[in-house]
Amino acid sequence: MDNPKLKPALIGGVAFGIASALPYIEMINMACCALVIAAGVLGSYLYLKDQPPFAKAPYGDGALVGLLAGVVAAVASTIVGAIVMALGLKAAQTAQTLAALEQSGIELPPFVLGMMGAGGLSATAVGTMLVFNLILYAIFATLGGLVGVAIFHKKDAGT
Amino acid sequence: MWEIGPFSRATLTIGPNPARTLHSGRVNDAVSRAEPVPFSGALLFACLFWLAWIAAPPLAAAAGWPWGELLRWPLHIVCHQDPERSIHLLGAPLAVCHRCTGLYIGFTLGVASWPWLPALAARLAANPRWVALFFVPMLIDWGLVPNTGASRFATGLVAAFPAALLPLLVLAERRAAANAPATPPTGVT
Repeated sequence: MDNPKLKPALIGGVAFGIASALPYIEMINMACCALVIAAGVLGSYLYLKDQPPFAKAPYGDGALVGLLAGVVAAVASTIVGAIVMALGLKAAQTAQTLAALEQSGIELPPFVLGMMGAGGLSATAVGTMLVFNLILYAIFATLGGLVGVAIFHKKDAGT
Repeated sequence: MWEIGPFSRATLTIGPNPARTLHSGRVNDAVSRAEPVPFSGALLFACLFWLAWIAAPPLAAAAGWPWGELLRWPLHIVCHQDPERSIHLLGAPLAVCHRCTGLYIGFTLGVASWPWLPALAARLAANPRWVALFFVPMLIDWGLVPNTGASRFATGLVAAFPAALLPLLVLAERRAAANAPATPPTGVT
């Protein structure tokens, strides 16, 4: 991996990945994963900032930077989320989700409860969180990377 | 080979001055062969799968299968899922809110439609910052004016439709790079 893409992706991913796991701040993600999209946009911006003007917008590069930022954000968010879960700061939210599911007549088996973090921090809960974060963050941060290129790329004046 | 339409020829060659568009040079050479954008069909399929996912919980509930409710849970990461701010299908809310539903449907419509709107696609590809402008109504609706379910849905739809062109441009860019002829060695006549 060449450094010009890795560093912006790391900065965008870590910054917004941590934010995505913090209580209250994570609620910004409820606006269509805005923090994760911002990770991709920031990654693209930082990447393009140090690049010369392009004859055509480097959408492929932006998508790759966004994808990497999403993966980094997913890992960072899972690590911080596990800490938040261990501290019991997500217990109320989990209880609310479980109550809603119970209301719709579902009796969840233990392994599903474990995945949802009902029993507090566990390897199953963290693994599930990582898988969902990786899938969703990769998608949304890639789109963020593309939007970042559309907004911030510098056109080559000669073309 | 996936093919959903004449996207490649249209977007990348039409314009007042093709040399100044985003897809000049090698890309235009490739596009002149009128090959379809690879994997654009797969992208459309993925979008339709996503829409099916958000519609699955109410459909499952209507079919008497309560486990469909569990499909809502992963999407809590990306949406507040407030039932009062969501479209209801068969008496139950979709898995995401009005605005998110609008965004996802708009994006899917964009992926399906851009290949058939070549002139418009070429203009947008030449001025990609316009994509950001289409988010302005959504931001105004979100923060500045009293909104309704219809306004949230509509502004989401408008915001996402143009953005769907961007991944299609990536796919076209990759195809063009793959089809680009190798540079002849210096000195060969």
